[in-house]
Amino acid sequence: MSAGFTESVLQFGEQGRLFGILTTPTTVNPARPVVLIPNTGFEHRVGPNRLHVQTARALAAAGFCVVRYDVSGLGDSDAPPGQAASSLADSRLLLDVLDRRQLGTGYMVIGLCSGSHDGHQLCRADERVVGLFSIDGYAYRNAKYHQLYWASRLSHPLRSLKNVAGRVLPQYRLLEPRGADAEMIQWPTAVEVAADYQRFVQRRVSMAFVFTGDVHDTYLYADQHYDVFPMLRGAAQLRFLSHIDHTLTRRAAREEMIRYIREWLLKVTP
Amino acid sequence: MQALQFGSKQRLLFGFHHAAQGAARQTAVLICNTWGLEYMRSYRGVRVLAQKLAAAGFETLRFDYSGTGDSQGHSLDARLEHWLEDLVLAARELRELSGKQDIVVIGLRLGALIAEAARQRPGLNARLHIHWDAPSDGASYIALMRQLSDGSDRAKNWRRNRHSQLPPSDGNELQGHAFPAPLAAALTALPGPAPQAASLWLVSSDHSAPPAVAAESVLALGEAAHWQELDWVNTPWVPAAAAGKLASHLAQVLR
Repeated sequence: MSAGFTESVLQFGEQGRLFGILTTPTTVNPARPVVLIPNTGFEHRVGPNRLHVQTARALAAAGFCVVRYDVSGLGDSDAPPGQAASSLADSRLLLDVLDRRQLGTGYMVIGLCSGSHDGHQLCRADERVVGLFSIDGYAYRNAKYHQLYWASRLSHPLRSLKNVAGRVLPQYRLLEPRGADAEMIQWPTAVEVAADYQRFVQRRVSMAFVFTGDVHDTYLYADQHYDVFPMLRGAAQLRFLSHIDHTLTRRAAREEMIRYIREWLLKVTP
Repeated sequence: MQALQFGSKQRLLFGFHHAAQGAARQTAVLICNTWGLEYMRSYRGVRVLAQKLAAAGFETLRFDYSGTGDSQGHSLDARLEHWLEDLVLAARELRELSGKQDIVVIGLRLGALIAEAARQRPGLNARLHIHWDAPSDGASYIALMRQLSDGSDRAKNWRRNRHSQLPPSDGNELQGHAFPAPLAAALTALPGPAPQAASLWLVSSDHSAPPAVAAESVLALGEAAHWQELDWVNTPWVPAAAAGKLASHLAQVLR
């Protein structure tokens, strides 16, 4: 095994139907939270362009226990027999399993796209979650978004046509249906998310939000998330990385993201 | 389904053993993945295939090449020579786990070319190679991957703002996956599988086997795979019916 960490299999749930990989640092610090990385879209726990593997190993080398896992119907996890798939129920089962192992204190979720949704919903339902790192998660347009959008469109009419064309190109669909056996994702309203954030702030949940240049359909300027959700100012980090794409197809982008995640975790944890 | 790690400490490989259900047959099956976006797209499909084979009585092993998926190793250190060694190691692991000496290798897409390149290696010795939608050779496969990668970048940049265009690739990556120069050179030089007796060609409805392949060596699958279409690169490939058809076919022709 590579220096600085070891990897082992986690099978949990009824008849071990759920699957994950636990990456453990050479020395476990039980005061630190355990980091969870759920699926992104339909992709299995490896993540887009192996992002989750690289992130888990880098964070383990920095002293964090990390679990990257498949929710029901994705990767190597089966849907519960006779029941609808629920990534929330899966994640809570995982917390129960990890609690018994006493690998750390609390949990932090790093999620990209549908993984961000999973992290948010887990944090909402379970106070054992003490941190969220969201990449291209929930985003909502506000007045300034529309102002920037139309100013841009009116000054560059050709781009307006490109944007319409882009909408029918299928390369990229955020929060798309995940897989035949997996659950469909429902995006909450901004009012619901605001209420959640208010509770997260009261709970002192550590939060960081990153938006990439591929989500310009909903996100257009650096402080947009702060403007839509003022309670996050001073309570959460926010970055708009317009040069990065949603699945981090450039190695430099993945390295930048992992560096940021690592720095953030080291800042907000013991 | 049993997760396992095997190989050397320096190059630990990750895989799954699917034990045969019911009475095990005399032949075990080794599945060789494709690569990059195709690997991501086909991951669940390969699992379904392994499950169908196990249900038909075949001990089955699937695994990730070193530097890919869950296996150890940095992606930039991935080399074809290592993957060929990995394949032989996986064959040995399968024989040990199953107690079966007869093995069949199923290579999906690039995996078919890798398995073919390893055919003569001591320790592999498969009685049958099954090529599932095999590319005609490594050069054409890599050319297609480059074409899809360029197309994907173009589509993204078309939609992105002028000031946030994607930076150019650093040359060591393809479709977002590490693609170091030695690996690129070796994969590009891979020949296509030769039309020979000890091979079975599986072809999706939008694919074809080389003309020289005898008709009795081709198993036509009813479903399209869309390997060459940009619209499909982010869509899961889970050919459950085709996997069932292959498992039934093998159950008829193998012990």
